[in-house]
Amino acid sequence: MGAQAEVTSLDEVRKRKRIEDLTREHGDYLRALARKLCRSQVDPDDLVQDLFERVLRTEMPDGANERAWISRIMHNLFIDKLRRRAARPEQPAEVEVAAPPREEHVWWEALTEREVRAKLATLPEEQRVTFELFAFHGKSYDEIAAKLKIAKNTVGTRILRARMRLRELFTTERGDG
Amino acid sequence: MGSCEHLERTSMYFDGELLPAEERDAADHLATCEECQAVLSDAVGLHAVLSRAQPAVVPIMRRRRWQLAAGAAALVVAAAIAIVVLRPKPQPSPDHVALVLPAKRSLEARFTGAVTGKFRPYESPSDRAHEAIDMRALAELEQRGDTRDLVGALAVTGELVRAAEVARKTPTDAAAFSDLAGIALASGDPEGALDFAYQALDKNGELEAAHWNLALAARKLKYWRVSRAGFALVEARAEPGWAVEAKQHVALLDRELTRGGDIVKLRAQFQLLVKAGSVRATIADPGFRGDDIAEFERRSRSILEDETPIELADVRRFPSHALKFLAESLQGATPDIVEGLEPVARALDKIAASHVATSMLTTRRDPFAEVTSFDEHCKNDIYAVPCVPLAWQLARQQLADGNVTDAEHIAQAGRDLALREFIPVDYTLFAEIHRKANRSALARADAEEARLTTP
Repeated sequence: MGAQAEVTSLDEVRKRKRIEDLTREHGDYLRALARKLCRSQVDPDDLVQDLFERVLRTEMPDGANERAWISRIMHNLFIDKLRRRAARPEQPAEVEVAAPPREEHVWWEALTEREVRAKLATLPEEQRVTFELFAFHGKSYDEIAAKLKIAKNTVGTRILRARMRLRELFTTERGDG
Repeated sequence: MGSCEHLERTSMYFDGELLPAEERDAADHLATCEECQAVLSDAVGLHAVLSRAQPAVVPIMRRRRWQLAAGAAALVVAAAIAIVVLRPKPQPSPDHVALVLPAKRSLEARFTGAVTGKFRPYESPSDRAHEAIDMRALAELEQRGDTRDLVGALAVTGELVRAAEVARKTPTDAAAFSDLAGIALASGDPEGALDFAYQALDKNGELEAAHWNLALAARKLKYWRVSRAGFALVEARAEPGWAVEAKQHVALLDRELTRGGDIVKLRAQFQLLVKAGSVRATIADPGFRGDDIAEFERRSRSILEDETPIELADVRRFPSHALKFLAESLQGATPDIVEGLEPVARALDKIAASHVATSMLTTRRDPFAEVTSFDEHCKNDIYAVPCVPLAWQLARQQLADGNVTDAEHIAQAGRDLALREFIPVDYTLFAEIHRKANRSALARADAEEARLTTP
């Protein structure tokens, strides 16, 4: 066999290996994320399946956080599914329709946990505490409301504001608005 | 804040704080609102970046032991919360806080602590992957110097780096190595786990937890027989709970292994078909024992002589072998043999959605002669038979050129294919690769698997 054949073979092998590695390192996380996204609306197994098919056809950008990168792809696929469902409500959501690939950059793709924690520290106290109870201590809105003696709606508002503020801080910092 | 009035609902949707009826509205709205899509994206991104089992933990377990201390120190920052609580000199807690664990365990691995090592049924984790434990109980364990339960408790709460650090404080202990194997399993590093489990067993061959973790690691790495042996040993010890779970694992592994037995039968059938038609062809099959010849003789004769349709279920299950059989049987076959083989060819073409097999009946072309590229042919299971030796060959080439990593990737792909199609695995190749890569644990498992394979 020629040298050419060997090169393509290696690519193929690496590709398979990559999917295997992704499953091993992020499989549980991805299934959990799919359930979080899909809730009662879309079949999460379907979403995970689509994700792997997409990942095989996409190169990870340099410097990306792998888990963040696959999460972005899953988010985009989920939105695509919702769009298809909205466009053709009589069809089940899993009917395959060619969707335009949406590979735009997102602000959180190359972040590390440490960077986010550092930026969190600059948030207004009430937002920071609420967000940390939710994200790091796994507390539900109800538990946080009880602990901080605030209304549940306020918890939701604070968490949303914290997320949006982090987006603002990181995007301004990078200067791409 | 943006202008859409539903941003908060979208955020709550992702956080699971809506009622199912509200979820429907939120999802419908998300389909069209870009602002809400951005809010969902923010939530997904922060969840991804902050999710506990960061892949960063994995490389640390893969490093050599002497590198681990330094690597762990660098990552300590990431585990800041735990360290605040578990400072070397914690404040004495006024009350006794016992370590209480949830009723189900979130890690499949087994730890050696008196409390954390107690059997709890395993339930694969969903949303909240880690077990919630009172932090004061952890501090107390540290104060008491209960290293074993401290390691186990840290591991189940997801503090894997910290757990590994604590385990390393008692490096001469078999239990410590067994726990490290458990931590490695939890960080998705079966290779490291295998290494640690073997070290634990070298120090104490009776340690059930080490056999358990070895079995889990071996299964992950597809050493079915090594894994089965580990679980079988735990089953034999008859400890409450663990023995039952071990028995289930053994049963599953047996199923995996006996599916391999079916192919022996199938090959025997093919062999007979070949004989009955006086076709001068042999199927290279070191595993062929011929015990079932009588059973299959009648059937294969009736296929050829009485035009009984061949059992296509077998062809469907082992298409690669069937194609090979077809190619070999066609060499010098008489017209009635060709006719008898037609159902096999048709079934194969249906599987592969091609006309390769039926055209072989007229052209007598051997499609395997053209299989030279893993890339082109190995996506299709029907080519597994020639692709597996091709993989061994390519891997050996890479190994000879000093590309150990590439050699390993190819060999692993070959092994996946081989296991799927029940083709014998060249474990000497793996042992060679692992020797070159200086990974004794895998070389040891290769040798063990090979030993258990030959009766």
